[in-house]
Amino acid sequence: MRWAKIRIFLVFLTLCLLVAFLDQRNVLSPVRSVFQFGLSPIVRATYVLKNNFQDALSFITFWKSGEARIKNLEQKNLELIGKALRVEQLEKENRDLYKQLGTPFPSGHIRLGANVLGVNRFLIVGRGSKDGVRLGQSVVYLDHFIGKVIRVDEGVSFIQLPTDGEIKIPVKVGATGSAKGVTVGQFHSTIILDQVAQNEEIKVGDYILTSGEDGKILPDLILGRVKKIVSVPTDIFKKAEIEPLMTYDQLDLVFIIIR
Amino acid sequence: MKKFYLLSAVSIILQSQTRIICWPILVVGASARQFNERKLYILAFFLGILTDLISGRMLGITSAFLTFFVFSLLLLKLRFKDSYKVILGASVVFELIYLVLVNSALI
Repeated sequence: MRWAKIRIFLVFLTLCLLVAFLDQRNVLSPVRSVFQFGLSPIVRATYVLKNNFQDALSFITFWKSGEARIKNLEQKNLELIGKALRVEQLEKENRDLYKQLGTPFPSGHIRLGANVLGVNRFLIVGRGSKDGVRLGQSVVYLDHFIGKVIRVDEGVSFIQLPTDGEIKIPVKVGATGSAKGVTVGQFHSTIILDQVAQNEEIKVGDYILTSGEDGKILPDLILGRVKKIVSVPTDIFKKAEIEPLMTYDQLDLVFIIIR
Repeated sequence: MKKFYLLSAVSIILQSQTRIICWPILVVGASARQFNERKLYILAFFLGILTDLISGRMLGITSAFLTFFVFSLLLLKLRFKDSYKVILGASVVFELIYLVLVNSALI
């Protein structure tokens, strides 16, 4: 009786391992594509429904603090308009300098728009190998780093977010990049900045940008803001908790940098 | 039987939008009192494959995890019959194991 129970368990376990082995050898890619083609619309519909529901709920919590937040945003908007004008002026100066030096102005990257289908451990997007998506490509929203492509199927790709425990992103603190370090994800909710030399200065509110030192992730993409310094002076490296500026669960559209 | 198909479909849809809960564990747990062992293993296998398809994992990994869950459930059923408390407890324990495995990026 017991042996029969163990036997059926072993049969199914072997079957699972066989499927895993075949999938690793890419034998099951056509099966994967067919299922994902069928499931994608349903998953996307659920994602949109979930986000709409969350929006409706946030309206209930918003009405109390709404006025103060709008005033705060208006103030920030004014500041940003000033900064945007300054950036425009600097860009013009930069172009003129390039012209004077006789070198072409560096062209932008090609961004491929991708609808978000869902988010579990990875962000699932509705673009795949048939659209030119390849492993390791950076995914952005405006100038914010969303993640990198970790798996590509024919019509669907999976994006590893900065909050994932397995991702390591070389970063710099602020646009000047005086302090450099590496970020790692924690519990799918926070990002930890690590390996910053003790003599470097980081403070709460500093912006964290990708440094592009690994040659895979594009540089100068915004990752988040320093929320809390978690190391003590006796530690070998400085450590800080980073607050992502994007809510990864509520993204509707992202851009994959395909070239 | 129909309600389990419905539950399975709902669990897979929920799985596509959730990080830390393995919904198929709850479906397999809920089926434990009514399904025989062969049906339970088949249910675990297919729900696992669908979960892996949706979450971008290697196919078969979640199925193997759910197979261990079914095996444990069947052993517990031998000892405790069909006690829903025991089934619920086992489901919670496996949910916690799943949480640890996902957070440490092992699956």
